[in-house]
Amino acid sequence: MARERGGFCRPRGPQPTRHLLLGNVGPTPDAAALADLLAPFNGGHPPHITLPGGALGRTHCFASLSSPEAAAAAKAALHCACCASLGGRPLSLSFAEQRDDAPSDGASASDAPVVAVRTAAECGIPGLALLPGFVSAAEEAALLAEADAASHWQPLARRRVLHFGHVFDYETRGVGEPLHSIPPAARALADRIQGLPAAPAIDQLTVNEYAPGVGISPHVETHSAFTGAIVALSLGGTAAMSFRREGHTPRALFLPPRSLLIMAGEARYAWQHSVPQRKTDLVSPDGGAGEAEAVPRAPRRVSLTFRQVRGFPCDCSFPAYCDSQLAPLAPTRLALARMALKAPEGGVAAAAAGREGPAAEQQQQQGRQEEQQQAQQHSDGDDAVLAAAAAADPALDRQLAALEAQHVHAVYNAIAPHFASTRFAVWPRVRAFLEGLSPGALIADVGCGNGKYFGVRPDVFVLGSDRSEGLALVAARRLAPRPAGKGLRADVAVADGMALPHRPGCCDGVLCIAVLHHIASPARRLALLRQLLRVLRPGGRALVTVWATQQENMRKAAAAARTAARSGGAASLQQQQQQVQQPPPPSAAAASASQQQQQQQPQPLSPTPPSAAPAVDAAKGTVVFRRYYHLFAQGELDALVGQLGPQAALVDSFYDRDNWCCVYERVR
Amino acid sequence: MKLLTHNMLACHIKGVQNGFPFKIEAEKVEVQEADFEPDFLQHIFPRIQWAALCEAAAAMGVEGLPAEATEEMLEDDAFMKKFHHALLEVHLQEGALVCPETGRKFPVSAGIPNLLLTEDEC
Repeated sequence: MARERGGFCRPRGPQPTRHLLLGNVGPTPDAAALADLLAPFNGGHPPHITLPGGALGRTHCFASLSSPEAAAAAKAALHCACCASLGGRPLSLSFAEQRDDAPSDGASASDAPVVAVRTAAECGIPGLALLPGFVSAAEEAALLAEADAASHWQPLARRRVLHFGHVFDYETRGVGEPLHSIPPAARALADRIQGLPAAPAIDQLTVNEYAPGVGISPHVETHSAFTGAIVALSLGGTAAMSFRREGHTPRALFLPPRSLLIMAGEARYAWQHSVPQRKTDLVSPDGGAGEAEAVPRAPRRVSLTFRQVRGFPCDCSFPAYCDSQLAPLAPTRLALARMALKAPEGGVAAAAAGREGPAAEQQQQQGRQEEQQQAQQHSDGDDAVLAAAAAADPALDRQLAALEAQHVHAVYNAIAPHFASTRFAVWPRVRAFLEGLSPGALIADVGCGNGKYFGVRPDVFVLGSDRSEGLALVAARRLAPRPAGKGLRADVAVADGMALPHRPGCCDGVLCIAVLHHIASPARRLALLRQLLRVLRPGGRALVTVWATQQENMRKAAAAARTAARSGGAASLQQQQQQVQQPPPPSAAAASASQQQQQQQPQPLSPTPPSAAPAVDAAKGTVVFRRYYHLFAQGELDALVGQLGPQAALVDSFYDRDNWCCVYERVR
Repeated sequence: MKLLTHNMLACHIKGVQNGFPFKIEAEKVEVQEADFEPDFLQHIFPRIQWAALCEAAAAMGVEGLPAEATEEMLEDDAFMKKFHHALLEVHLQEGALVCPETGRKFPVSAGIPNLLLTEDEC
């Protein structure tokens, strides 16, 4: 593996290293162009570029910069950016470690190969079964011939795939419309498999062809896309399949040719499986006694994965791993890349992204680690202009409402499942506010999103409302009676915060978390606060939080920008910050159009200085979304509450985790 | 949608004066058992518009709620069971909420009322 990767390996920890793995740099990486591109981050000196040895057609290489800071700055500025001098592909940058730099206490645990056992029983994962010799050599040949004859193979970076029945979309992790029907030999096999106990009604087949040494990253078959057991037939070569689940020891199962692997229950829903990238697997000897033997992988391995497309949300008993049940799956790398690249019509970018498939599967595992950021790139600023214009022209208010409809409501509807799956944590300050209310309180949660504040206190009733029907549906799933839901004392309605349907004066408390900044003018923001006040009883209190201009993430970005500035490449980061502060054109329609253009045009990078790839989040190296928002300055929210007049009294005002927050009370 | 929610909603069309309570058109009603907690009911009782609850319960086919309720009745276990049932266990799954003043129908689908207004209703 060290040889294969040109002496580099993955870093052991999250700390930046001075080496970068540059991915997607083309079939024959242009070392000179890459060195020029990175030089501004390296004090002006072109860094050393290491091309990987081995077969032609490598799409990655390594760059060694002078310091981890320089590498971090380059990564922040260039990850997911597309560069004209490199064919306009979106670059992928990650830290790497030189083998010699790596601490000498051996490979990290994840690198250490697990000796593969030969039976599912030895693996000890509930729901896992392996049936050796499920097909004869003749059937194997027929199946391979049938697959080889297909004309719609889809090339991915390291392997190629063939879909029958429905097409799995590596960007959305969903299945598309049925296209090619399952061919005869495979269909006959599928029918045989369906005769097995607990087998799914197979309507989808994916054929993967792996060259020797090629593997597939750890993933769980997407819960919401497929139902029931996943069944995979190995043909041609062998592989050791690794299984892992948090809190369990990793294990591996040797898959001989013509064997049928069945993953059901826990094995299917909760364990990640993968095939490590290596040319030889360590396998326990037949019978279990003696030394492990090294089994080289044969020229190619073809796996036939049989699945049943799910037509309804998954309700498995592993909600922590289930995207249907709000588990946090990250957007796939493909989805991120596409958002970053989005061409005006989206068509070109989509076609280019389609070849980057396999990375998507990794995301499921990585995404669980970190709350994925839906970077928000819309901004406004010149409120005074808007306010004056709105006062003069009532039609503008409708335009602003239309802006919100397009850039807030539609976006939330579109991203509802993913958005919901990334919003879990109950903010301590919100909890504290709820705990300050009396038992039996009626609470309106305006903009309730996925309903995460339902049930925080069991002795109150929460009526959540959201403008997004998609989010309301997600939130409503929490209300189902046990065991599927929690049977919470809450309900959900689809309603607009600008026109609340609550009986005036009926609420003891109102939550309005991360909503107000999506409203497009000061007058409309004030109107929303009035709505909250209207539904409160005298003495009732509202908690309102908004995004602050003072973002901790931005402080990180600023720090990175300073680093980058020292190495001469600050432009993109500063530009990112400027973008947030930049005033829009005075008309909402124009603001929308110009922002959109800015967001959607791929921005080729010139070597010095790199211009901003606008949809890239500099701090995290992630991307992208075009939600409208207005960042609140210090004191702005309090001032807005002040405009409510004597009916409202500001009770508390504080900054918490990138948000300005205030509590106000209805005086009478 | 629970009847407690119904009790919290009023028609919000611009200009409507008497938008409470919504009349209920019930197409599908479901009963979902909920934990019976007298403490919760006692606390929430003062917040309930009783006549509206009675009317809604009748529209949902729930019987046995007294036309008037007083705090003393909160000591009566039989009353509390009925109160609990009507307030939290009976769900309007499909149907509509109808504004008592204008007759405007707001659809309820999959237990979720859609109370969005059209542009000229705001």
